[in-house]
Amino acid sequence: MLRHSWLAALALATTAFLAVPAHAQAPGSKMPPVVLEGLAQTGAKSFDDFLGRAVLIEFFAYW
Amino acid sequence: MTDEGKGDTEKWIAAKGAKYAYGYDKGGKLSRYFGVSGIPHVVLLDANGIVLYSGGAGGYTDELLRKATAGALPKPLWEWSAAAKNAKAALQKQQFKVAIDEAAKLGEPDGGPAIKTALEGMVKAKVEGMKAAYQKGDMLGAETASKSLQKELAGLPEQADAAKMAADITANTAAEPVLKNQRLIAKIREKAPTKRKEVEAALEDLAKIRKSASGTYAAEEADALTLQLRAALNRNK
Repeated sequence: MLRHSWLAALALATTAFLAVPAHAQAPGSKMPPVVLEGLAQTGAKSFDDFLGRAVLIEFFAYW
Repeated sequence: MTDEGKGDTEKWIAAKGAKYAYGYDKGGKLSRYFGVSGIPHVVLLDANGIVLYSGGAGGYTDELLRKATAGALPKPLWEWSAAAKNAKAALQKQQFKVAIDEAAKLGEPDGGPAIKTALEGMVKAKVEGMKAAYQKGDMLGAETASKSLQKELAGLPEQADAAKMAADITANTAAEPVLKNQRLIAKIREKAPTKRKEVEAALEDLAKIRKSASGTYAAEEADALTLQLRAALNRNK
Protein backbone atom coordinates (compact mmCIF):
# COMPACT_ATOMS: atom_id res chain seq x y z
CA MET A 1 0.00 0.00 0.00
CA LEU A 2 1.16 3.52 -0.72
CA ARG A 3 1.88 5.74 2.24
CA HIS A 4 1.30 9.46 1.82
CA SER A 5 1.56 12.32 4.26
CA TRP A 6 -1.54 13.64 2.46
CA LEU A 7 -3.59 10.66 3.62
CA ALA A 8 -5.23 10.54 7.04
CA ALA A 9 -6.18 7.12 8.36
CA LEU A 10 -9.09 6.87 10.74
CA ALA A 11 -10.45 3.71 12.29
CA LEU A 12 -14.08 3.73 13.35
CA ALA A 13 -15.37 1.34 15.97
CA THR A 14 -18.82 0.22 15.03
CA THR A 15 -21.58 -1.85 16.54
CA ALA A 16 -21.04 -5.56 16.80
CA PHE A 17 -24.31 -6.31 15.00
CA LEU A 18 -24.75 -4.49 11.75
CA ALA A 19 -28.20 -3.27 10.86
CA VAL A 20 -29.81 -3.62 7.47
CA PRO A 21 -27.75 -1.59 5.01
CA ALA A 22 -30.64 -0.35 2.96
CA HIS A 23 -29.09 2.75 1.44
CA ALA A 24 -25.40 2.12 0.87
CA GLN A 25 -23.66 5.01 -0.84
CA ALA A 26 -21.80 4.46 -4.05
CA PRO A 27 -18.43 5.92 -5.07
CA GLY A 28 -18.84 9.45 -6.37
CA SER A 29 -21.25 10.47 -3.63
CA LYS A 30 -20.47 13.21 -1.14
CA MET A 31 -19.63 12.27 2.42
CA PRO A 32 -22.55 13.27 4.70
CA PRO A 33 -22.08 15.37 7.81
CA VAL A 34 -20.38 13.12 10.33
CA VAL A 35 -20.62 13.18 14.09
CA LEU A 36 -18.10 10.91 15.79
CA GLU A 37 -17.61 10.27 19.46
CA GLY A 38 -14.38 9.77 21.31
CA LEU A 39 -11.91 10.78 18.61
CA ALA A 40 -8.54 9.71 19.96
CA GLN A 41 -4.88 9.56 18.98
CA THR A 42 -5.32 12.49 16.58
CA GLY A 43 -5.18 16.27 16.80
CA ALA A 44 -8.62 16.44 15.18
CA LYS A 45 -11.42 17.53 17.48
CA SER A 46 -14.14 16.52 15.05
CA PHE A 47 -14.42 14.91 11.66
CA ASP A 48 -14.64 18.39 10.12
CA ASP A 49 -10.99 18.89 11.03
CA PHE A 50 -10.09 16.41 8.28
CA LEU A 51 -11.33 18.95 5.71
CA GLY A 52 -8.99 19.07 2.72
CA ARG A 53 -7.34 15.78 3.55
CA ALA A 54 -7.68 12.46 1.83
CA VAL A 55 -9.13 10.13 4.46
CA LEU A 56 -9.07 6.36 4.70
CA ILE A 57 -11.74 5.17 7.12
CA GLU A 58 -11.72 1.62 8.37
CA PHE A 59 -14.74 0.28 10.21
CA PHE A 60 -13.66 -2.22 12.80
CA ALA A 61 -14.81 -3.99 15.91
CA TYR A 62 -12.63 -5.25 18.73
CA TRP A 63 -13.92 -8.82 18.50
CA MET B 1 -21.91 1.64 20.29
CA THR B 2 -22.92 0.63 23.74
CA ASP B 3 -21.05 1.78 26.82
CA GLU B 4 -20.00 -1.78 27.49
CA GLY B 5 -18.70 -2.17 23.94
CA LYS B 6 -16.80 1.11 24.18
CA GLY B 7 -15.07 -0.06 27.31
CA ASP B 8 -14.07 -3.31 25.63
CA THR B 9 -12.79 -1.43 22.59
CA GLU B 10 -10.62 0.85 24.73
CA LYS B 11 -9.12 -2.20 26.44
CA TRP B 12 -8.50 -3.80 23.06
CA ILE B 13 -6.81 -0.65 21.70
CA ALA B 14 -4.54 -0.50 24.76
CA ALA B 15 -3.73 -4.20 24.65
CA LYS B 16 -2.85 -4.09 20.96
CA GLY B 17 -0.86 -0.91 21.31
CA ALA B 18 -2.73 0.54 18.32
CA LYS B 19 -1.38 3.99 17.41
CA TYR B 20 -3.83 5.01 14.71
CA ALA B 21 -6.53 7.63 15.05
CA TYR B 22 -9.89 6.16 15.97
CA GLY B 23 -13.39 7.15 16.97
CA TYR B 24 -16.86 5.79 17.57
CA ASP B 25 -19.65 5.60 15.04
CA LYS B 26 -22.46 6.30 17.48
CA GLY B 27 -25.55 4.26 16.70
CA GLY B 28 -23.88 2.85 13.61
CA LYS B 29 -25.20 5.75 11.51
CA LEU B 30 -22.17 5.89 9.26
CA SER B 31 -22.06 2.10 8.98
CA ARG B 32 -25.61 2.12 7.70
CA TYR B 33 -24.90 5.01 5.37
CA PHE B 34 -22.14 3.00 3.70
CA GLY B 35 -24.00 -0.28 3.86
CA VAL B 36 -21.30 -1.95 5.91
CA SER B 37 -22.12 -5.66 5.96
CA GLY B 38 -18.73 -7.06 6.94
CA ILE B 39 -15.71 -5.98 8.94
CA PRO B 40 -13.20 -4.61 8.16
CA HIS B 41 -14.87 -2.23 5.72
CA VAL B 42 -12.93 0.63 4.20
CA VAL B 43 -14.06 4.00 2.84
CA LEU B 44 -11.68 6.23 0.92
CA LEU B 45 -12.44 9.95 0.62
CA ASP B 46 -10.69 12.54 -1.48
CA ALA B 47 -9.82 16.03 -0.25
CA ASN B 48 -13.31 17.28 -1.11
CA GLY B 49 -15.07 14.54 0.83
CA ILE B 50 -16.04 12.59 -2.26
CA VAL B 51 -16.27 8.84 -1.75
CA LEU B 52 -13.77 7.12 -4.05
CA TYR B 53 -14.13 3.65 -2.60
CA SER B 54 -16.36 1.80 -0.18
CA GLY B 55 -15.89 -1.92 0.36
CA GLY B 56 -13.62 -4.63 1.64
CA ALA B 57 -10.22 -3.74 3.03
CA GLY B 58 -8.32 -5.20 0.10
CA GLY B 59 -10.42 -3.71 -2.66
CA TYR B 60 -8.91 -0.28 -3.17
CA THR B 61 -5.98 0.31 -5.45
CA ASP B 62 -2.83 2.43 -5.45
CA GLU B 63 -4.39 4.35 -8.32
CA LEU B 64 -7.36 5.31 -6.12
CA LEU B 65 -4.98 6.34 -3.34
CA ARG B 66 -3.10 8.57 -5.77
CA LYS B 67 -6.40 10.08 -6.90
CA ALA B 68 -7.48 10.65 -3.29
CA THR B 69 -4.26 12.38 -2.31
CA ALA B 70 -3.96 14.52 -5.44
CA GLY B 71 -4.50 18.10 -4.33
CA ALA B 72 -4.99 17.15 -0.69
CA LEU B 73 -3.64 19.43 2.00
CA PRO B 74 -0.08 18.44 2.89
CA LYS B 75 -0.79 19.14 6.56
CA PRO B 76 -4.05 18.67 8.46
CA LEU B 77 -5.79 21.81 9.70
CA TRP B 78 -4.80 21.22 13.32
CA GLU B 79 -1.12 21.40 12.37
CA TRP B 80 -1.34 24.72 10.53
CA SER B 81 0.69 27.50 12.09
CA ALA B 82 -1.05 30.27 14.00
CA ALA B 83 -0.14 32.62 11.14
CA ALA B 84 -2.41 30.59 8.84
CA LYS B 85 -5.52 31.16 10.96
CA ASN B 86 -7.21 33.40 8.38
CA ALA B 87 -6.66 30.91 5.56
CA LYS B 88 -7.93 28.14 7.83
CA ALA B 89 -11.05 30.06 8.83
CA ALA B 90 -11.84 30.85 5.20
CA LEU B 91 -11.41 27.22 4.18
CA GLN B 92 -13.71 26.08 6.97
CA LYS B 93 -16.30 28.52 5.63
CA GLN B 94 -15.67 27.14 2.13
CA GLN B 95 -14.58 30.57 0.92
CA PHE B 96 -11.85 29.49 -1.46
CA LYS B 97 -10.95 32.90 -2.90
CA VAL B 98 -10.28 34.29 0.57
CA ALA B 99 -8.46 31.13 1.65
CA ILE B 100 -6.17 31.23 -1.42
CA ASP B 101 -5.49 34.95 -0.98
CA GLU B 102 -4.65 34.43 2.70
CA ALA B 103 -2.39 31.48 1.88
CA ALA B 104 -0.57 33.65 -0.67
CA LYS B 105 0.37 36.03 2.13
CA LEU B 106 2.11 33.27 4.07
CA GLY B 107 5.76 32.46 3.68
CA GLU B 108 7.45 29.10 3.27
CA PRO B 109 7.94 28.53 7.05
CA ASP B 110 4.16 28.73 7.54
CA GLY B 111 3.49 26.43 4.61
CA GLY B 112 1.94 29.18 2.49
CA PRO B 113 2.98 28.00 -0.99
CA ALA B 114 2.02 24.38 -0.25
CA ILE B 115 -1.34 25.40 1.21
CA LYS B 116 -2.07 27.69 -1.75
CA THR B 117 -1.22 24.94 -4.23
CA ALA B 118 -3.39 22.46 -2.37
CA LEU B 119 -6.33 24.88 -2.22
CA GLU B 120 -6.06 25.52 -5.96
CA GLY B 121 -5.98 21.76 -6.45
CA MET B 122 -9.16 21.40 -4.40
CA VAL B 123 -10.87 24.03 -6.54
CA LYS B 124 -9.80 22.27 -9.72
CA ALA B 125 -10.98 18.90 -8.40
CA LYS B 126 -14.36 20.37 -7.42
CA VAL B 127 -14.93 21.80 -10.89
CA GLU B 128 -13.76 18.63 -12.61
CA GLY B 129 -16.03 16.57 -10.36
CA MET B 130 -19.02 18.72 -11.30
CA LYS B 131 -18.26 18.41 -15.01
CA ALA B 132 -17.68 14.67 -14.72
CA ALA B 133 -21.07 14.29 -13.04
CA TYR B 134 -22.76 16.07 -15.94
CA GLN B 135 -20.85 14.04 -18.51
CA LYS B 136 -21.98 10.74 -17.02
CA GLY B 137 -25.58 11.99 -16.84
CA ASP B 138 -25.69 12.55 -13.09
CA MET B 139 -27.80 15.69 -13.37
CA LEU B 140 -28.59 15.89 -9.67
CA GLY B 141 -24.92 15.61 -8.77
CA ALA B 142 -24.01 18.27 -11.31
CA GLU B 143 -26.84 20.56 -10.20
CA THR B 144 -25.98 20.20 -6.52
CA ALA B 145 -22.29 20.85 -7.18
CA SER B 146 -23.12 23.81 -9.40
CA LYS B 147 -25.20 25.47 -6.69
CA SER B 148 -22.64 25.02 -3.95
CA LEU B 149 -19.67 25.95 -6.15
CA GLN B 150 -21.25 29.21 -7.24
CA LYS B 151 -20.99 30.22 -3.57
CA GLU B 152 -17.73 28.49 -2.63
CA LEU B 153 -15.81 29.80 -5.65
CA ALA B 154 -17.12 33.38 -5.49
CA GLY B 155 -14.46 35.72 -6.83
CA LEU B 156 -12.50 32.98 -8.60
CA PRO B 157 -12.56 32.47 -12.39
CA GLU B 158 -13.87 28.93 -11.83
CA GLN B 159 -17.13 30.37 -10.49
CA ALA B 160 -18.06 30.97 -14.12
CA ASP B 161 -17.78 27.22 -14.77
CA ALA B 162 -20.30 26.57 -12.01
CA ALA B 163 -22.68 29.20 -13.37
CA LYS B 164 -22.35 27.81 -16.89
CA MET B 165 -23.16 24.35 -15.57
CA ALA B 166 -26.41 25.62 -14.06
CA ALA B 167 -27.30 27.21 -17.41
CA ASP B 168 -26.41 24.05 -19.33
CA ILE B 169 -28.64 21.92 -17.10
CA THR B 170 -31.53 24.35 -17.51
CA ALA B 171 -31.09 24.40 -21.29
CA ASN B 172 -30.87 20.61 -21.52
CA THR B 173 -34.47 19.39 -21.93
CA ALA B 174 -33.37 15.81 -21.33
CA ALA B 175 -32.07 16.77 -17.88
CA GLU B 176 -35.44 17.57 -16.31
CA PRO B 177 -36.92 14.04 -16.21
CA VAL B 178 -33.58 12.66 -15.02
CA LEU B 179 -33.50 15.21 -12.22
CA LYS B 180 -37.07 14.37 -11.25
CA ASN B 181 -36.29 10.66 -10.99
CA GLN B 182 -32.99 11.24 -9.19
CA ARG B 183 -34.81 13.32 -6.59
CA LEU B 184 -37.31 10.50 -6.07
CA ILE B 185 -34.43 8.06 -5.58
CA ALA B 186 -32.75 10.47 -3.18
CA LYS B 187 -35.96 10.60 -1.13
CA ILE B 188 -36.01 6.81 -0.89
CA ARG B 189 -32.38 6.87 0.28
CA GLU B 190 -33.17 9.56 2.86
CA LYS B 191 -36.02 7.51 4.26
CA ALA B 192 -33.51 4.67 4.74
CA PRO B 193 -36.17 1.94 4.75
CA THR B 194 -35.35 -0.89 7.12
CA LYS B 195 -38.68 -2.62 7.80
CA ARG B 196 -39.69 -5.29 5.31
CA LYS B 197 -42.89 -3.51 4.22
CA GLU B 198 -41.02 -0.23 3.76
CA VAL B 199 -38.32 -1.93 1.72
CA GLU B 200 -40.89 -3.70 -0.46
CA ALA B 201 -42.72 -0.42 -1.08
CA ALA B 202 -39.43 1.25 -1.99
CA LEU B 203 -38.66 -1.58 -4.42
CA GLU B 204 -42.02 -1.01 -6.13
CA ASP B 205 -41.28 2.69 -6.50
CA LEU B 206 -37.83 1.92 -7.86
CA ALA B 207 -39.27 -0.51 -10.40
CA LYS B 208 -41.45 2.31 -11.77
CA ILE B 209 -38.46 4.64 -11.95
CA ARG B 210 -36.32 2.01 -13.67
CA LYS B 211 -39.04 1.57 -16.28
CA SER B 212 -39.67 5.25 -16.94
CA ALA B 213 -36.02 6.31 -16.76
CA SER B 214 -34.57 3.49 -18.83
CA GLY B 215 -31.21 4.36 -20.36
CA THR B 216 -30.52 7.27 -18.04
CA TYR B 217 -28.28 7.74 -15.01
CA ALA B 218 -31.41 7.70 -12.85
CA ALA B 219 -32.10 4.15 -14.01
CA GLU B 220 -28.54 3.18 -13.04
CA GLU B 221 -29.08 4.66 -9.59
CA ALA B 222 -32.42 2.89 -9.29
CA ASP B 223 -30.77 -0.41 -10.32
CA ALA B 224 -28.01 0.00 -7.74
CA LEU B 225 -30.43 0.82 -4.93
CA THR B 226 -32.72 -2.03 -5.96
CA LEU B 227 -29.83 -4.48 -5.63
CA GLN B 228 -28.94 -3.12 -2.20
CA LEU B 229 -32.52 -3.35 -0.96
CA ARG B 230 -32.97 -6.87 -2.30
CA ALA B 231 -29.72 -7.93 -0.66
CA ALA B 232 -30.92 -6.41 2.61
CA LEU B 233 -34.19 -8.33 2.35
CA ASN B 234 -32.36 -11.59 1.64
CA ARG B 235 -30.04 -11.12 4.61
CA ASN B 236 -33.00 -10.65 6.90
CA LYS B 237 -35.16 -13.56 5.76
